[in-house]
Amino acid sequence: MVSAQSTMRTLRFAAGIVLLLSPIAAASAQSTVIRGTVTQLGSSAPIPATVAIQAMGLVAVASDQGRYTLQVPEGRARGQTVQLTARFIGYTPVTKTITLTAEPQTVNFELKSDPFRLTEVVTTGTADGQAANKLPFSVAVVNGDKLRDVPASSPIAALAGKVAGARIALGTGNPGATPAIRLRGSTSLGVGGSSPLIIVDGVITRFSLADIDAQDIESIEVLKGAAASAFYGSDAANGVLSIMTKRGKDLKDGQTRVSVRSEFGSSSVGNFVPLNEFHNFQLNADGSINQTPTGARPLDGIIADNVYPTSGDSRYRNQLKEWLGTGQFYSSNVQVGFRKGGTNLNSSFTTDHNAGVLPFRSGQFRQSARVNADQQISSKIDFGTSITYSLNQNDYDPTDSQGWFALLQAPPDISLTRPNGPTDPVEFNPVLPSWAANGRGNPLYGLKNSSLAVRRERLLGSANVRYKPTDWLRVEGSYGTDRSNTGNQAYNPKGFLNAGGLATDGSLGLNNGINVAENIQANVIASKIFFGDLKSTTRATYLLEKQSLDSVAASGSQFTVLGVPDLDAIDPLNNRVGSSNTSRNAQNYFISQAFDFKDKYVADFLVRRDASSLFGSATRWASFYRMSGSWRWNEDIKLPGIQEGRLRVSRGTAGLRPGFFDQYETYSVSQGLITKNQLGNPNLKPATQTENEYGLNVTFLDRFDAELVYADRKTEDAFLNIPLSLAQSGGFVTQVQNAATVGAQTWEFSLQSRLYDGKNVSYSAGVTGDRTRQQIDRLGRAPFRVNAGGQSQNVFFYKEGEALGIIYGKQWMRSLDQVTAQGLDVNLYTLNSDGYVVRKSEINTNAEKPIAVVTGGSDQTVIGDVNPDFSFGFTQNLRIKNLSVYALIDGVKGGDIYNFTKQWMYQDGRHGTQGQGSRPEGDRRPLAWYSGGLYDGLNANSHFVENGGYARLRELSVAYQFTPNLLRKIGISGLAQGFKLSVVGRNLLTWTDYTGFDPEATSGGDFNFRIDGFRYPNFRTFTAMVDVSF
Amino acid sequence: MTTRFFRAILAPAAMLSVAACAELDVANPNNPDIARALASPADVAKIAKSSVNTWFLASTYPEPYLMLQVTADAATANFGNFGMRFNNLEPRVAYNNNSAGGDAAATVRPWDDNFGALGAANDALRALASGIVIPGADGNAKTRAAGLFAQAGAMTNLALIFDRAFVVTEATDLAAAPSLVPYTVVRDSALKKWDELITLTQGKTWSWDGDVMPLSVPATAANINRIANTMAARTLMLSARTGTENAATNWARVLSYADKGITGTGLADINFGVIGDGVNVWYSELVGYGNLDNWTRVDQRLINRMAPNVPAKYAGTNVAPITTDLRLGTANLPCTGAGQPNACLTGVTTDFVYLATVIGDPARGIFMQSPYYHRRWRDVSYAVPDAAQSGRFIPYVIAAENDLMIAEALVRSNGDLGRAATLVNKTRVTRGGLAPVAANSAALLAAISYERDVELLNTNGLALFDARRLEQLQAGTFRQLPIPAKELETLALPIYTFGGP
Repeated sequence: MVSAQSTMRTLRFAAGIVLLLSPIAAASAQSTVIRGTVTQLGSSAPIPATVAIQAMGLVAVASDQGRYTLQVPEGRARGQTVQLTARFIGYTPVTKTITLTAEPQTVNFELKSDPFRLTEVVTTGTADGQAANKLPFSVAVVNGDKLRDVPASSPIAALAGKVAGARIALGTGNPGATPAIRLRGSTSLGVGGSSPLIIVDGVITRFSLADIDAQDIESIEVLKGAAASAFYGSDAANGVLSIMTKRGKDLKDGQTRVSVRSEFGSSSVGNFVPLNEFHNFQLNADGSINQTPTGARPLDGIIADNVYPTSGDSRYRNQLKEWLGTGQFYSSNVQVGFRKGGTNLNSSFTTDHNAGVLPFRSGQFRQSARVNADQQISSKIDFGTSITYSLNQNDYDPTDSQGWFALLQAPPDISLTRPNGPTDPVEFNPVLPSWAANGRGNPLYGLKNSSLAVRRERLLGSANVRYKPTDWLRVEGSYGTDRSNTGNQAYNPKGFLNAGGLATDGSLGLNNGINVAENIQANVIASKIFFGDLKSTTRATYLLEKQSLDSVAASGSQFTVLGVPDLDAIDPLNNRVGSSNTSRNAQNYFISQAFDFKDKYVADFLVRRDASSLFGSATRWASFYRMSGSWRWNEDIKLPGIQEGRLRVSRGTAGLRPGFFDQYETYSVSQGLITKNQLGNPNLKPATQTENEYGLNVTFLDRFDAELVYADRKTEDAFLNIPLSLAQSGGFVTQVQNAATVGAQTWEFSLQSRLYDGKNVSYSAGVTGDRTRQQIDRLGRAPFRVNAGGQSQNVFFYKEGEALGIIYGKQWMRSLDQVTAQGLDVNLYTLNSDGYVVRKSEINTNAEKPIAVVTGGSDQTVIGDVNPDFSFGFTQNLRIKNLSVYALIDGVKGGDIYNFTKQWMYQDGRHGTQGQGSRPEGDRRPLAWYSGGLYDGLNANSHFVENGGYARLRELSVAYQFTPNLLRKIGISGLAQGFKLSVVGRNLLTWTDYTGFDPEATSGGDFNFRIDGFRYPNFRTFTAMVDVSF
Repeated sequence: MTTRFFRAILAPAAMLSVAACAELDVANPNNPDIARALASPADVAKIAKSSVNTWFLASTYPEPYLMLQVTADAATANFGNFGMRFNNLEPRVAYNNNSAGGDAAATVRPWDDNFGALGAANDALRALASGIVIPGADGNAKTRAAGLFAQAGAMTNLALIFDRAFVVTEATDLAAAPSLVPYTVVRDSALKKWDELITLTQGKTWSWDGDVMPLSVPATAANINRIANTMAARTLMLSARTGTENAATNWARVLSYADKGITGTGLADINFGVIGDGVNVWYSELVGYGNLDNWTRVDQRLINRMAPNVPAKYAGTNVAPITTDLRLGTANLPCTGAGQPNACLTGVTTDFVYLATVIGDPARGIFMQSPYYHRRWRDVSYAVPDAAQSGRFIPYVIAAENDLMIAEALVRSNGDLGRAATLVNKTRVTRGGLAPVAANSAALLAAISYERDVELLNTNGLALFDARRLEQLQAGTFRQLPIPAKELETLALPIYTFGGP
């Protein structure tokens, strides 16, 4: 058992190591020299490659002319045979076996271009790194150069459209919101339970990814499911994202590189929800709306086809276009890289701002600073450390939707600035005039007069030591920590008006959180070649994880004095407090064994034992495994035009851990009162996914690299928060159980191509696509409806044997055949101009309403499925001399969205569909047909199920590189690297039939809940960017 | 140097082997462990006390009571909240018993909350039955009284609202799934529990601790006993679904309970209500929204009883009242414009007020609108800031309700009509300024119904319970609610509903 003391000792040791980070120069004395050149095979162009004798820890970097000089310290050249390897990004490394003597020698290399980086080493999920072209399971690698042209708001956003099988969407556009991501299929029936494990420079992160600056990323490796992620055990059924940040390792000895990038522009809403431009109130002779002395508006018929006045205070306004403006967007990033001898470091600083599109709120401000440093201490020991600090501040909660409900339903004929007429004494008065039927209040009053300060400080740090006592054995120790300190303040000043327009004495809410996650890891890695051809790599790892979340919240209402946002100024009778304190521990062991025979046959095995305090007390330990193999068949069966071919099969298991509260058999206590809420489950086990993955990789015609993968997964013991019968449970409302089995089958395809690569022109393109089917194979209870939380309706349905992601409700009849099929008298029904079956006796009256299909005595049936037929991404890079264009289009085909916003807007007559003034007179439908009939009391029905397919120009960059030569010509000197000027667009265009703001709508960060309910919509940004390097 | 570093590397390896075992039994310091709580006398007492709060909040929640008041044509609104809109439609439609949809909570809320109160109360009573000793004088009796109160109260609510329910008590073995029983059985179980509470408190001198329920009167055993009697009388009287069942009610038993209730004992009358704490844990959302002018209004059917010149159904024209009942008045018109109706209500003290403005979209049905507003409990409604409700009386069962029960039981059990008239006149004459009622059955029953409509609106939402037994409901109005679809789905039972053509 770990005592606090021993943990402290461990931490102190890690701190001690940091102090040792004094730049110790690489040993240099009388030495032997190896010299040579590195050039491109065929063209003989020089390559500034790295040349190294890895077993001895000796490294040299070739000059721009391709020349290198490697010093072998005196006494270390003893006539032994060593391997000298030259490698450079984008080329296949070449290894030569040489005999080290005291005499200088010359070794030249010719490297072959590797445009698809197939020989680059993938580290995530492997025993000790494996070349991409030998991997027996899928690891998608997104390198920094794919992220460079359009810097993403977060590492997840950066992956959109670039990785087959990864679905990424910004469910809401709130500045600072983290996008939702799902790799392949769902693993849980909980809402938002599909987030992968995220590792940054070896640190298991637990808190918001919105703090990680995507501009620091060197590469991202993506493990999509258990076939690959078994390595990460009980926390990895959703896959793993491993992010490596820039470390300055690619710099030449003695080089310092400074790059500065600044981007500035603005954001605005691209697509607007259609609004009703017509009404059915009586008009005066002058075209104004008739209003009685008591403030009522008599109706003029039942059809909304009268036009609003075009001028004056009660003229028609599109309140969305009136109030959703452009917001400022900027980002500045400085990177300083340095490398000398055995020391390399990279530091960066970023400040950015995303204002969003809502009035009166400034959105997110973020600053982050990072230092990564590596120091080779001796030929056997090296040390690395990474520290990131970030500060994230926001005046609009990234998860909130304040203002949207009221703004979407605001009457069009009032000024929200002075809603009760030009003489309204209260600016943005929260009370709308009484004739503003069903007024939802004034969205602007709160946005203007209440204040919110959301603040999060984040520290990510890691230190690791590697020791190589011999050339086949390595011992590693690492410590990583993720810390997040949060503080929020919500303040309504004394005098703040409530919804009824009454002055309150104000309120103040404060909460603070201190969240700490730590992990300590030790690895022993042995790698040796047997029988000349069989390389064996064995790794044994121990991993300890600790996490604690502490928070305190205090709030109060009724300030006794003006202008003091302090709880001491609150009437003590009206103070409320609360706190929470949770901790989680885990320890894990695993052994991984990889064999590589003749560079052709690779086999990989893994067993892992995990224990977590989150598992129920009855089951503290769980086991996971992986077995996989790959065959580079092109080495055995040479086919013309094929450069690389690989078949692979992998089977692995990985788990998910329950939530903190799920196991404890407790009452709930709040405000000093004891109630029954969640029933604890001491028998909770991890959910376990078993995934079989089959892959085929082919590189052909020297220009194309294709991958086809089929993955079949089953997540057993999946978590389900089961609604209980309170009578039978003794008053408990829900219980989390290992109740379900969720299956998913995914096809993934990707094709990367470098179609042309000339001196002046190059063109490359990539396509990714995937199709996932997922279903509930077992559900440990009767079918039931689920809610994604927030401003949404429980239109979704969990039922054994059905797809996961079905929408359930009333299917309205659209043909008279359905009337006959239901055994109704077809003579009593007709089709209305919207194409729905209605009763003849009700058509053109206020009672006109649609008719639901009834099957088996029930009018509830499957009316939609959120799962798209397939998802796709398409990237293109075109360079003509100094001009380059990059574009990413991604999207989904099919898949339904439930437009709950539209349904609710129907209630108030605000939706564009309800305005009838533009239709032929005979086609106009009564307002009540929409606001009563189709609205149907917010019951789920087929009218609001819309095709959610879309294609989106997500990223676009047009850049011009001003070379030093060009600059000299126009009289600018001193910029050795020149600079790049680009115009950048994000989400610029969206092609979709969906009628809401944005088809990326998801609720609760979960793709199974594609429901649109008054959320902050995605917006587009358009910026100019300058990149300068020194 | 290498050796030194080799040692340095061995050191963390050694540390890690020490750290080789993390603490896997992590405590949950946020919530009380069930086994520990049930073994702790103070915790058992708190569970029982808390169950009373859960019951009170369930008994005064807008779901279902605002819907029930609306569908009984006592209050009116056309907003979709709390099931008010669609159950206010004319002609009436069936209650939409669907686990989705805006009206689902109108049944889920009372079902779950009352079973939540029952579950906690049963835990405490079971712990007491198994021999736990609550410290302090009469600790066990006071705790048992709290548990019984919540238990009986929750069963009363279930019996009044739903056609069927489970009866679960501290004696129920939950391992064997309980079965559904009709409301009459639920009612009888509730009465049995009220009887137990009445027996337990009879002649006792102890008082509840201050944290059971902030009653507006001292929480003495005697007052609890009186409240229990009133609650038992209500349970028996209000559970009748039809006029026929109403006639068959055991009125003598109603009278017997009510006579020992919050009035009628010869002692000073008391109200059963709580002192609000500023919408923290003691508040009534029924009162909060029922007296909020821009949420709900008074149905003109009720106004018409007080002012016959006002049509019983709003037809789009605001009609000012001509009435002799002092409880109905007019605001300082006009009430239009910003900051209203606060200004136009200044100095107005009548329970009901003519505002001459309507709310809501007329397209949904003009009959759902009304220019009349219930102002009586405005100072504990959401028309005032939450904090301003602190320290004020929040009604639940007011003295008049017990008086009117006694009066009705007297009339229906051939009792003392003179006494019945005196009780009715307590509000009719004193508050309403109306002529005293004649001491004959027909006049008395009419006056009792009138007084119940006028006096008891927005106290505990009994309008539907009265209207169904007095056959005052519009055709097609449900008389009780079905078990919520969410529960039926969980129990794998067919979904059904009530109401409609």
